[in-house]
Amino acid sequence: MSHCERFKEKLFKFLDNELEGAAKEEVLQHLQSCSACEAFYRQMHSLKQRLHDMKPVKTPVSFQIVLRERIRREKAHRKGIGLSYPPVSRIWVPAIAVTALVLIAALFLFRSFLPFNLHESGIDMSLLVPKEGDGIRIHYVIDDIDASDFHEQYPSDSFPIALKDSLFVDDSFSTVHELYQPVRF
Amino acid sequence: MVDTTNKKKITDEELIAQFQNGDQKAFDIIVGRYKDPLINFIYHFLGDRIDAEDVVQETFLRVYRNKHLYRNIAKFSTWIYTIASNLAKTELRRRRRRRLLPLSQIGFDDKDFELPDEEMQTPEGIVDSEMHNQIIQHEIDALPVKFKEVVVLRDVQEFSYEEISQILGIPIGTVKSRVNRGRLRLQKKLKHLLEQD
Repeated sequence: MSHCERFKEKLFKFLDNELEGAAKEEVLQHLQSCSACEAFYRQMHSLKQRLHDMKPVKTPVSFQIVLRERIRREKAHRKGIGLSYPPVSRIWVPAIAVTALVLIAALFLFRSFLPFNLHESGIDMSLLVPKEGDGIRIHYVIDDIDASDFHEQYPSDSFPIALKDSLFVDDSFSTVHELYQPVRF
Repeated sequence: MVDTTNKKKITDEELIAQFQNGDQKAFDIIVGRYKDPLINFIYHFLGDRIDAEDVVQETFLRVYRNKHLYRNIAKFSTWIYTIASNLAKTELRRRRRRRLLPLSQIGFDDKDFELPDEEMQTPEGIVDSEMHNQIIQHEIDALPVKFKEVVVLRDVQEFSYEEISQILGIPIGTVKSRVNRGRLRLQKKLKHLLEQD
């Protein structure tokens, strides 16, 4: 890098009146002795002056009137939004729908871990199979099936077959699941 | 309420505080003070009068909406120029995404796109200061944004390096470096004009 290239940094500071004392004097002396730097400095000074002197732009006479109108409209719009915001159809319906879906999914998942409740299973009750164990007499309600068919699938030593009109001993079917595997067809 | 009879000039910070307390007149005074300096800055930044007016309008709307966000930590002028500068840069980005029309499709009576004809571009032909301003503005427009904004704030608007640093959120050293590099680019492009002086 030439001496003049290195000098440019100081020239810019000199241009911005940021130099004092010896540093300023050094620049002045260089400018007096170097025509290239002196020409460069003159052009930079001229540029700075021209930028400073550029004809200022002003706002039109209507500027503040237009601004006031825009503010007035914005206030009216915000007020309007306050009355009808948020539109029900846009926010609440989707929110309710999503919540409902989440609840249904949660319930579905939860129920799969719940004991099988024969009362609500909707299984058509046509055959009652009593099962005894640990002192608890529990009746299974099985779907419509012929007693002989049932007996084939479930040997009598594990699922004794009762009469069709056997009574329920225990209505709490949750206990059924705790003790016995529910029967499904 | 703003006391308009008081001859001592009320500061910008006092005005915005009064506006924050609900004094609409204080906002009107702020607009009166800043509309011309702001449009001068934005016009030289964007090179388009209509866009500059829109940006300055939007700047004041933002001040109106967000007056509660101003805290008396920095000068009010720094705050409002920051808003204006950011909006101007957004406008520049928006322009880049728009399909640009060739200049030939724009009528020559469109002042914003008027360029000097070839005869006038020679040093001997350039005598009109208005033409000089157009030429200089054309070269400012051609500068990269990072140089343009600092050159306009420093050499057109005459902000200090410290103020520019706060407005743009960049270190003072970076401001000085960009100002010098911006000036250098302009000097190279405008050499024929500057040599006349």
